[in-house]
Amino acid sequence: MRKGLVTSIALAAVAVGALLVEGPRGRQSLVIGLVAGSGYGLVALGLVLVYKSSGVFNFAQGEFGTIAVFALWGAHSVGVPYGLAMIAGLVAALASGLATERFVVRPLRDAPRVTLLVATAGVSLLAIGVEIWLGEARLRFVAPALGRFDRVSVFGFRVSDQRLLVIGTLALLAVLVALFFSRTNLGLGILAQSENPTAAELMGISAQRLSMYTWAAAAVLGGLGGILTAPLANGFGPGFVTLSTLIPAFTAAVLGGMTSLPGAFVGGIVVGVAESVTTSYPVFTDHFPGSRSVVIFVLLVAVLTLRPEGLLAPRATSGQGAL
Amino acid sequence: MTPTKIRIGVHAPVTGAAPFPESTFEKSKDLYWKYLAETGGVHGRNVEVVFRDDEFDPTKAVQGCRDMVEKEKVFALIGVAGADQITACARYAETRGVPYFSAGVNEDGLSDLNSYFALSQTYSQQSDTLVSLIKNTMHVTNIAVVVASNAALNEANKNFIYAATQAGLHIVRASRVAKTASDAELLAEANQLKNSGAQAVYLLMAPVNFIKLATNAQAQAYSPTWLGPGITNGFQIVAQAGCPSIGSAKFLSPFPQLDAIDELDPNYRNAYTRYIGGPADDIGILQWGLAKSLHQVLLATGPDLSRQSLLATLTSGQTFKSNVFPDVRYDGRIRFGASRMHLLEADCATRSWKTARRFVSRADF
Repeated sequence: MRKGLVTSIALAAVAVGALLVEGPRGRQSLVIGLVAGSGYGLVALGLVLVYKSSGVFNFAQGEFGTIAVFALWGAHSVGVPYGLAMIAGLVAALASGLATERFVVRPLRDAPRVTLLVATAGVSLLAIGVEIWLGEARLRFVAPALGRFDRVSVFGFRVSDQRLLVIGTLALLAVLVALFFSRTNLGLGILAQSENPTAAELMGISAQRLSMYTWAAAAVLGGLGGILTAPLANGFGPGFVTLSTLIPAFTAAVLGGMTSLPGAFVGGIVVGVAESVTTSYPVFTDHFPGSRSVVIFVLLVAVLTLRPEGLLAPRATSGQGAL
Repeated sequence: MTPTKIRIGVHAPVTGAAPFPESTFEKSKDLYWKYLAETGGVHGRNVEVVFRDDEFDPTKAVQGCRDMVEKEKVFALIGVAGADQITACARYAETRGVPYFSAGVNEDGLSDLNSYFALSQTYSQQSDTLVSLIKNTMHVTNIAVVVASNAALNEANKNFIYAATQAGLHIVRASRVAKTASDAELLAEANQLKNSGAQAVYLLMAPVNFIKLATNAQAQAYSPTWLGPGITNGFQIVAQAGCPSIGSAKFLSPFPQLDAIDELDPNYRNAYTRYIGGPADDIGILQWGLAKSLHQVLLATGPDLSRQSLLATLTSGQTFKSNVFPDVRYDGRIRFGASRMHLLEADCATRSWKTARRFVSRADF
């Protein structure tokens, strides 16, 4: 863990230093990467939580977010105050997470992991279908929780209050969830259950209950990601989070190590900076249009080849105990 | 097709990156043909419309078109919007000898087809008009060009840059963004546009990305004049979502907006009220215009209708006038037969598009 962390920090320091020294464009790319990558990190956090506890790539994570956004929009549209509408969104996400756990994950608990993976993809498709069916495929608009965008400027780039809220929320959650897994009985129980379910059951840990808690927490994280990032997109529709954020978030989670919660944070920012740099420099925009996807793919392949466990997960174990 | 019925297949993106409001589209997809049926149809035949959502995906578009041709046995196909989807479906239609119509998009991939016909100017054809507008009316010299990275738009991108450069405009930034651009990409693009100092930005991308780009630019205190060719960026929903960020954006459009349709075709609003109910919308105008243009061709072909006779009429050199879409004229070689477009301008005070000029060409600026 320590060696991986040191290597990652050193590489990040070199990249950050190069961008800082390069000039205003480099510095702004860094800020843009941070603010945009935080949105990816927020969704990645929920992915890591589920993977960490059950070893499942949760393709339904994006839809927990979209359901929350629809609930927020619906409640706010009928006059519910914004704060309460946000809570309604989180409750809707929580309900969808619990329903997924009860009706999809639990019955498939003993099935191969790939079956669960496909099942979560099915949940996602079902959710998108229901959203289209109930709400029709059209753009909707949701106001930001914080509306000002001229309060903070970093290196000449204005960072809106809503984006600051996303960054702050992500940082806070990454720390809180990491503490949860290292300092609480429930968190330690989830880790124990994921590493050795039989032993955990023999110790009196209820796998069913832990699974329920985990999916509930992941759904709330997904919901939070949705309701905080939807106003930034200035329009959402069915499948919004899945279509706009799930792939970058998966990339972020894999870069971070799939089991590392701070890794999800760092991975999100790495993806954001890579996208920002490839959009900002003429060497990419003039000569390699579409290089954004290529650069992220190269990054992903490089990490998976050189350090398959990810940037921040420990090398020695399969990684599900990492923080 | 039967002696009393013609079946037409229509595809459009009602989901995906360029979504139309689905119910609005569903309601108005056969509005013109319903209206026409009451006046006797086309030489005694009524037109039935079948529809497929192409999800802004060329593969899905071809699947839908194949389904409509092989299972639904449609006589002709219409693509409503989306360059990649229209190109893919038109190429499929060519292999089956099915006449295919769309509002003008790209020319690459379509110019070699015999059964394809653009019912309005292509993106490339609109370049000269836009350059004249920028230079002679807006009096702007520093411009940026931002085009989605799909290959189908390469020729439109190249053509506009060439036209602008020839006219003496200074292109301070030219970039391509992904068809499904991410938050980071659009944030960085907005920042680079601001740094470039462009006074006007030529845009050719899906409405969702246009709105995000304009919003990100405004958050950076950057408000250029956004303009471009198009179909979908001129929808009311773009003004509703994009205002105030899109400012006084200007887009060419094959169809006029609601403020002009009553003068150009008083039957539209009446028909909308009668067959659909509620306030008329602009997506209905697009579909009304496409259908009305096709109706002129069907009328000219006469009662002895077949795909061969339709193609012969289309390429005969006569002009087809709908007074909603621009006049079109094709021949054995020309498949892009329009020479004018409507100019729409955003009015953020009312969150809507206004028809600033009707049926304009380069010479009008």
